[in-house]
Amino acid sequence: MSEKPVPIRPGMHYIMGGIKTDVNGETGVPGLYAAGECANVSVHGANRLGANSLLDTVVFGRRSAEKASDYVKSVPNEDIPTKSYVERDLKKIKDIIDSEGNLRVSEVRNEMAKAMTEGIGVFRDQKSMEYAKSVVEKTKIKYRDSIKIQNKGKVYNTDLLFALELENMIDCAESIVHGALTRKESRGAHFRTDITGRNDNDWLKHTLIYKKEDGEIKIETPDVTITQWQPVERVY
Amino acid sequence: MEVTLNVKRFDPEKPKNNTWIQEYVMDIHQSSTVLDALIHVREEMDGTLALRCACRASICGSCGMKVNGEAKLVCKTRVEELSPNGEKLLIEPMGNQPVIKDLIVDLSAFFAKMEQISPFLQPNKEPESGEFIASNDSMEKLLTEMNCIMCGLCVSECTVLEVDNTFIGPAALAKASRFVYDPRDDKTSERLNCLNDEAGGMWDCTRCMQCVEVCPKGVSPMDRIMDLRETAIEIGAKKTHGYHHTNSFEKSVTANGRLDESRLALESAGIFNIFRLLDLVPVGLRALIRGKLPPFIPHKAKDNKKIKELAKAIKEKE
Ligand SMILES: Cc1cc2nc3c(=O)[nH]c(=O)nc-3n(C[C@H](O)[C@H](O)[C@H](O)COP(=O)(O)OP(=O)(O)OC[C@H]3O[C@@H](n4cnc5c(N)ncnc54)[C@H](O)[C@@H]3O)c2cc1C
Ligand code: SF4
Ligand code: SF4
Ligand code: FES
Repeated sequence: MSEKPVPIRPGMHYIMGGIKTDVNGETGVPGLYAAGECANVSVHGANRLGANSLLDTVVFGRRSAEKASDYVKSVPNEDIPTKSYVERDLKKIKDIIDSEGNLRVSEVRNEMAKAMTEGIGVFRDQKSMEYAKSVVEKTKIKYRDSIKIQNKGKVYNTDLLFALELENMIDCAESIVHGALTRKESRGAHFRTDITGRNDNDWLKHTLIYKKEDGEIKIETPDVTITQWQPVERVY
Repeated sequence: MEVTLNVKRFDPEKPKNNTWIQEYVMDIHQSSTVLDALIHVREEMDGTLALRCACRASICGSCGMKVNGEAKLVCKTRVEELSPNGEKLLIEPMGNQPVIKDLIVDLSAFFAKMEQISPFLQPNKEPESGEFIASNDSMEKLLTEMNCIMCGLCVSECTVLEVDNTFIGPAALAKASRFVYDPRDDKTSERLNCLNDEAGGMWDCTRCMQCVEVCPKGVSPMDRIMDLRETAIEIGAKKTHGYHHTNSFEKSVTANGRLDESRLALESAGIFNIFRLLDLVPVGLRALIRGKLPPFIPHKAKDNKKIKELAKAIKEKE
């Protein structure tokens, strides 16, 4: 082993950004709370520092849990139309299981993953990001029209699970691509080889991505509010 | 390189013949792990194969399985090491736990037993200032216990669990020691008395070493169990057969230079424990029929004096 080459490549360690929340985990959608790596409280900036993520999960996990429990107590115990939601989800699952395409979910996913790594991995530029965007677009269509599920069972069906996951992955990939293409500078982990410097004059901004009901993407770039801590470069 | 996996399959939804061995032959990279090969099967050959995995780097503890009969983390096991000349590999689910599907076992008992030992710090008082401070030294002593990734490999191979699933098991006991020896925890005696429990407690371990052998993180659960037993004796948690067994063992060896088996059996059960003693009768009778009943007046070792001196030396050293 020690005499043979060891294959090495970069791995994914953390996703900066996420579902926008305030310091109490509130998302803007009443009753929906987010905390941890999936959330963005804006404590990490464009490059999270080591050890700060677990701190984030503990602090904001607790705060959102407290808020969520207060919220539940504050709203009337309305009858939630559980049945219609369950029926909707059952239909969705049935449709996926019955899909009659010719592509395995893993094939579609790996193709997108490869394009994301190449186009929007450690280094990126306009061209590579546009390439990633085009593959994500194609992946959406393949996912809708051409996948197949070999496993039709009800017990621990990971074939189905991976299909459901891919749908969410496409949403995430789409937001990453749009966010990255919007930002005309390099900052933190967003390292563009075609625009290398950080540009505080124009880009002390958040990027907010929304998806409308009809699938259309809306992008906003509100200013960053700076109070006590000035943004500085991560130098290690 | 080419590899052949023989995977034990189980599909609870099939009305009959729901357990079978399925062979998968594939080409993989030289450096591939067994997990890489299984993922290759799942992604490119057979989407019905169910297995658990997440980190692929031996830190999450989800990919425990049996490879050629021994429990392993398959992401930490390279194909080439076990199959240098293309030998077929047999992949089965972990043992001592019910199988849900294919290579996936039900871990609810594992986690229920973890919960049973109250796996969190229980201090009696508030910290003096803001937080509880533990010295570096005291934490370093706990590093082995803290390394546990809850993979369940030790539980899969435990020889006691194989015959008695009430045993709390190696993983939960190792986790218990992580709290017993934490200077910030004040429930040492409660914890030990609870683990001392007659049914399924720490005295049920037979010291077979299996858990030490298979643990991928060097936790050495059996050694942790021995630490717990010693501390239980020290703090005077005496109400168990285990304690009496150990005590009788020591007395008999010190007195005679060898084990007095009749006395050991009686004293372990407890001289006044009529029910337990009655339990012993059939065993005794069978031993008598086969001429295996130990003598009532124990034999003494020839160099008994030396043994007594040794015992004395050990006592003094303690
Ligand atoms: C190798 C590595 C080392 C790291 N080291 C450190 C470190 O030293 N210090 C530090 O601070 N941070 C570190 N991090 C980052 C930190 O570990 C993570 O950010 C943190 O654990 C995230 O916790 P979380 O609870 O927010 O999310 P996760 O732990 O990712 O939990 C998300 C959960 O959601 C579940 N889930 C996903 N989708 C669904 C769905 N559709 N329905 C239901 N459940 C779902 C997942 O199965 C998972 O259990 C490290 C990360 C990695 C990868
Ligand atoms: S040493 Fe004890 S705990 Fe470990 S496997 Fe053997 S019987 Fe089980
Ligand atoms: S003690 Fe070792 S084998 Fe047992 S669960 Fe923990 S890491 Fe796994
Ligand atoms: S996949 Fe995480 S330990 Fe093997």
